[in-house]
Amino acid sequence: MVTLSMQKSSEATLLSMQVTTEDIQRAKDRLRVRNARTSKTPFSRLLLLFLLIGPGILVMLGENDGPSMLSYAATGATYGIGFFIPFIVLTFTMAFVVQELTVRLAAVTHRGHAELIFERFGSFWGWFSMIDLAIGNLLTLVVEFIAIQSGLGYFGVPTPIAVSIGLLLSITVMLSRRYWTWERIALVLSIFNCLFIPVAILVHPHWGQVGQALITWSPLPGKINQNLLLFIMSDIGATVTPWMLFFQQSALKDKGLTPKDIPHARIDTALGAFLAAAFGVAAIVATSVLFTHHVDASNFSSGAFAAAQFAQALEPYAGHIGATLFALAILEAGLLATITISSSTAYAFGEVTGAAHSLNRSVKEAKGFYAVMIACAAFAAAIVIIPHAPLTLIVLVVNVIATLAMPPALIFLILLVNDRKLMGDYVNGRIANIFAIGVTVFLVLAGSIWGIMTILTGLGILPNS
Amino acid sequence: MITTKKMTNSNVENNDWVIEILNSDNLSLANAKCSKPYGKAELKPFVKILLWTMRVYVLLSFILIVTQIFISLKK
Repeated sequence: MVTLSMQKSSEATLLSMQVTTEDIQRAKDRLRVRNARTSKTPFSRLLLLFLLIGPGILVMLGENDGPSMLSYAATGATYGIGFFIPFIVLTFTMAFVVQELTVRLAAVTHRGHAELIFERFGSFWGWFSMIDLAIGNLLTLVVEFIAIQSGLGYFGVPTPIAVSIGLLLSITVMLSRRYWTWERIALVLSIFNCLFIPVAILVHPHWGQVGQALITWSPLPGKINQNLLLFIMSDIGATVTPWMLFFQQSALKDKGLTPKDIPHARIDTALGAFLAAAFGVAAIVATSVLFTHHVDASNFSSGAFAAAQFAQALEPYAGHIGATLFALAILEAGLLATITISSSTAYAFGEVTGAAHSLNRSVKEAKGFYAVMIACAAFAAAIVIIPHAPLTLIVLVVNVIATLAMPPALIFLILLVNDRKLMGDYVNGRIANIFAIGVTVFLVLAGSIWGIMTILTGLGILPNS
Repeated sequence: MITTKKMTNSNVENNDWVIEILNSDNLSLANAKCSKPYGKAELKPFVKILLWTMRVYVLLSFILIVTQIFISLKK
């Protein structure tokens, strides 16, 4: 029970400390939330939702990044409309189950994911999580810049200019110096992920077949072989990855989420999962036309110009407008992911080292935070520009690292949400644990199978396809 | 009552309203790092075993990644 003396002592502690611009900006955001909550106007509920949405949509649409959308495109071109459409819906449902845990952790503890691992499980696991995330994110950023280069490549923009444009735009958003501004710019950018929908409409798919696939999971993709398993693993990897856990928890902490806001944050995450699944399905439907017309796209997704190749292949069926929209959508996917993934590394760095880490801080106040964020993006961009850089190897290693890093990240997440000292009344219940552990076991098994298959293929024990 | 004027005029010296808002939401000031430290978790034997299993997993993963890079570079 909170007593008057405890409140007074807490206020005294607060007053004795220096207020920073981070606190002022956060207080402004919280004041808007408080006013919307107490207001009785007809639009107050909508306003409250508008104020509280953000990290959930960003994390889900951020995961609909360049390589993920190309993975869906390759799936559609290889298997057409069928099993993979409801499968994408299932994987985003799993993503929601996992991300909802980070929502509660952030709201109750006001700590980032790396910070909590460091505090509760010691410095070894804290540093491991941060370094693991940083390496995975850095390599993923390289792939995002490949997507940016590939998207702009369709319009004939040379690689160095395309990468520089992507880097410049990302840094401009990163330096908005206000969490709210950063979040709203990123949200506006994320809307362009919907460009896959008009592309899907332009190829004139059989919508009845899409509906039937959603309900019946059919037609099945034929016999189970290594190629099919690789597509399944790749699509799982395109939906649930470690950076998402770190990003959403840190972003919610920066936003100043409180336990009262959990229902709205859940809506935010569910909306993000719904939109991401819809756009992912649209990418599959769009490229299913290549499957229908027996266009071989098997080498597209591994190439550095995959988006341009897919766009060109789609042109006869979706027209020039459809192909242009596809290239722009891949460009957006790469750009948004660059912004969100760079920030997740910077947040984790600040959380583990104890340095200032907030988008509400000025560059002067949080030099390390912004330096990490910009350096990650700049380093990844530089690798893409280097002639003869081993980009194919990087793409391969990114997938392996992301898949292998997922089990420890998920296990820590489950341990943390079951920690009564942290969570109090918000500790995971039995049903939530059944879902969370079920998803974790599924992802660990999927990752392990994929990891073993990758190494066996590399050793020549399994054939390439 | 906190007014928009107070928000607009706010600076690091005039910050009572900031403290009031953050305090009412049970949020700490940014510099009041870990005002409520949780400390290291008391690990149950099962969790200790799980963490050791993860150490082995991490080591195996590292070997897998290095092998994968080695194979790819050799091709």
